Amino acid sequence: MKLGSDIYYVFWREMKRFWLQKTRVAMTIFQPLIWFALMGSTMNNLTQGMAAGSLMKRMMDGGTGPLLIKNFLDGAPDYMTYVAGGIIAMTALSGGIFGGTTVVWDRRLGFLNKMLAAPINRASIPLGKMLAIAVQNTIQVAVIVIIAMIFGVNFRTGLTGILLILFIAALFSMGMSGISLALGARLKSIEALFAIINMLFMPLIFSSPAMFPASAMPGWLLAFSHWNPVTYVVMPLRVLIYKGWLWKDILFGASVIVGFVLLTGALAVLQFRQSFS
Amino acid sequence: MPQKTLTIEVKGLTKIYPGGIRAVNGVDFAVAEGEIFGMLGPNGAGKSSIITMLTTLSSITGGTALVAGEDVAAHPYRVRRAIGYVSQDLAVDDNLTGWENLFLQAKFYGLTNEQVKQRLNEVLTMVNLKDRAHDLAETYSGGMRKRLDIAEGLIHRPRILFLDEPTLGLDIQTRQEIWKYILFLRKEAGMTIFLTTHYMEEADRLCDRIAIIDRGVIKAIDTPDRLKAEIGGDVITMTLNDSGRGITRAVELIKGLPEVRQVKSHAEEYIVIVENGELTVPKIFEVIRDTDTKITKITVKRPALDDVYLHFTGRGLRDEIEGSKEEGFRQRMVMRRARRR
Repeated sequence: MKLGSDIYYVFWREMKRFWLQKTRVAMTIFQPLIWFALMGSTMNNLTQGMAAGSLMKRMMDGGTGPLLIKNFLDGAPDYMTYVAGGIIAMTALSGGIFGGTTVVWDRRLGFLNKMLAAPINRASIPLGKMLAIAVQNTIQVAVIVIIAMIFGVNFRTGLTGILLILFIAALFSMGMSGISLALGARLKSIEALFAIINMLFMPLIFSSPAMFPASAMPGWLLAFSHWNPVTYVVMPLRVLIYKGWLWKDILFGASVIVGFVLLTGALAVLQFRQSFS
Repeated sequence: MPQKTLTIEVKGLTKIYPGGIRAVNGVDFAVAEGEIFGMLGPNGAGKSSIITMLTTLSSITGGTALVAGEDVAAHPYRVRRAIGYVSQDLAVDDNLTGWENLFLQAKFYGLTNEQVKQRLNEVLTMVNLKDRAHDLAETYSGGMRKRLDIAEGLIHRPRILFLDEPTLGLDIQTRQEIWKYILFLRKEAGMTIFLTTHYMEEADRLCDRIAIIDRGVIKAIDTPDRLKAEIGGDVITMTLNDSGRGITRAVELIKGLPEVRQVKSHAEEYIVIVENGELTVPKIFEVIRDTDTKITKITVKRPALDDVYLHFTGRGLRDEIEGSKEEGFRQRMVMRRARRR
């Protein structure tokens, strides 16, 4: 079938463009670096201070047994280790959610019409772009993993675990790009798309345990976080980073994300069929 | 023409956009194999709507269209295989080299690696881009991009090539160069070419037949020469100067001359169609000598397509209708890309 070949060549084009955009590739390294250096270091000190204060209070109250930082951070030894999974999820989210902008640009430059006038399968345009975003995201996340290691994060499940982390993050960025591509196919202006992306991005991050532990969330936010796909990416990532091979948790999170990808992929394909029949 | 094979047959073609705007209102025409057929009209006349329907890019609201023997609405995929489409957008990917742009297009049309090698060589030679093939398209001039874009439309050897405003935004030298290529294509490959334009000169130079379109309706279809003959004489254009009342009388007197066939006013000017321009001008001066009216400017010429357009639509081609905001934006963007060197 020609679908496979069409997907490949849409993918091929996106990858060619990716390597040329030097600033974009540089930003993929720079952005997580900033997060680790600023957010990570500050929060590391803050959480350690909090834990120390708490411990002192407990000793004075005559409580028993040591209270460790990890009780605050879902079992992570320090904030840097805790937030590594969150930064990976955030990178995947932003890589995916901006994916729809390429459709709006292709439309504006007339390249979309060129593809649509050619005898290619309509579905190949969103699917090829989704695949390219997944691969681009894998490269970004691999860089983040190295940066995290430099900042002292110890990946407990080793190389196999890291490969699985890359895979889960790639799937998630692919899923988010499905939503974004569907929006891009529907909306004609880049401004409207950016407005929606901005409206989605922050709530998705802060209604998930990406940056702060679920135990710190108020009840209503916690309830909301169960409907947020980011929650289900962060969970298996954290398990792989510092908890170890807890297969049940990993498989649960991964299967939610697989379902999410299938759903948004279908959404993108249907929206393309509808918008460009 | 009926004895020739038709490659495009359109009957009652209609396009109504959501919101009820009737962009194309029941047009009929047919294009024969090997013909260069042009559609002439200002922005918003319906040309783009027709070309996007024929190239399967937008749906048909009413009527039928056969392209390369296939019904556009029923078998869009088969139509796509048979046609090449070069949009007015200069839609080459700036982030790819010329070669990569062509390669991608070839693969979209399912060409094998062997064919790709041969055809790429062929079209690159044809549009004279062989030396620059491995440079990024963003380093190309407007004319080179247009040539690359046309080459992309040719890579699969289509039976019909659709060119939407092929020289929009290009300077005069580049425009002539593109015209040369279009004529060459027809001569060498026997290709049928359907083009839209709002440049009179372009329609006149290239087209075997022209359809004049205005507000979604075709006003006339014929060869450029026969359309000009339709006017039936020379065209005198003049501007009159007067305190007021006298003009009407002056025009009456001019109309009364036996050589004058028709007098029309358009904007500030009066257009007089006469049998023999050079001989009639002195007579016009003579006949209005006794009125208060003065002729401030006068020109005589053989009829050009501009006059034909005015004749059939009652409007000049330059009284352009404003397009939508998005359309305007796109057009400015194309202009910018075309002019960049």
